Amino acid sequence: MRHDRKAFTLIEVAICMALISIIFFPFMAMTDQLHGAYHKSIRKSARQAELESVCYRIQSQLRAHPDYRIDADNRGATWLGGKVRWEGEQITMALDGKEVVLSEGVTLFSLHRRAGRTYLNLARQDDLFREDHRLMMRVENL
Amino acid sequence: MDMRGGKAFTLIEIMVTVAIAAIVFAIATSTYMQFGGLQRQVEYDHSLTQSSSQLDMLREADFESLPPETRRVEKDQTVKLARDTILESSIVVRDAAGGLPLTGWTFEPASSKLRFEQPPSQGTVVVEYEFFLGSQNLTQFSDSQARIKLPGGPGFRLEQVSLAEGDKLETLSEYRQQGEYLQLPTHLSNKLIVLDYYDEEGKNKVSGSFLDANFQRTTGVTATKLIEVQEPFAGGWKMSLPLLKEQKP
Repeated sequence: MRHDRKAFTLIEVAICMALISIIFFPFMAMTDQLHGAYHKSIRKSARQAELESVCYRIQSQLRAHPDYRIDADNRGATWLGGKVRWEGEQITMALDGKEVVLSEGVTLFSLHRRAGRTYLNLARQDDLFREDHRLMMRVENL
Repeated sequence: MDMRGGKAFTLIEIMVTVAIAAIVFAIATSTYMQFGGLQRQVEYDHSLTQSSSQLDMLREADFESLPPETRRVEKDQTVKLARDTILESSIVVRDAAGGLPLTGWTFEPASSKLRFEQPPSQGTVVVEYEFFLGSQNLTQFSDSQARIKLPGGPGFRLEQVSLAEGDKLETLSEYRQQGEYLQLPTHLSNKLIVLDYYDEEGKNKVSGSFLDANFQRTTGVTATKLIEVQEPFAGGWKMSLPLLKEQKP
């Protein structure tokens, strides 16, 4: 096969590559940002859902046992046949002698009563949320 | 460099290249927007959860302690407003009939008082304003040195500090704010501390207006107020939660 076309010169190829990299640089930066945002959203949603689930489980027990007592150190509550406690970054719930771990890695769990209402504060921070200084969840009006 | 010998791109080649580039960018941009929306949704859900406690506070508040306030002008030509985190630029003063805005007054933020240069012709004025709503019930356990790390930045202001012990909640008066820490009396180590605070970074802004019998906004004084809580989320976005307040007979 005979080639009568002149090949690209080095300078043409270099200019072409430079142009492609200029075009793709913002594109790659955007992709990277997108990737970060996606993972952040997924982690946030997962944490939120997990904490909500823990809160609702505690909430339902407290509602079912309105004679519950908040522990003196405010790190748990006790009712007839059950209790919930936060110790060593773990929330455990004991129901009829059986103990289950509701959540791990919990950096704050507290119960307190104010004006006839019980407030439950629950935070599970990781590096992502520490930078936001955000309390993850607050459930009130039990 | 002599390019004349080389074959140029045909129109169809250029069009195909442009079309491919456009498709790639369209996909990338649309995905980016989609995830931006997802992030906003997560932030919105979070803000909505937080706002329920803000609405509870407003539900319990007296009708007269929410804007617009109808107040009598005192003998010293001042009017004391119920809130102490008022956004000064939002204040509008009208006569009791809800007429045109009055002038000739100054606002003293330290005491939340309006001071009139001349006494208004009627002894009563209606004051519209926006204020920042505080956050309540933020809890932290004090450390072994009876200190807690405050969550806020420059706009953070403590309103009340309480000690929770079991079912009891006691307001504390002895505490000292040292930079980003709050120092409590030494015997209060490892205790649950409940904080009520204002954070201007959070900017939960509350505004209000009177509603007439048809639930339309009016400047005249009625027995119904529409209170709106504005809560920011995901950067520049804001959500607005409404609350109707009726004056008790």
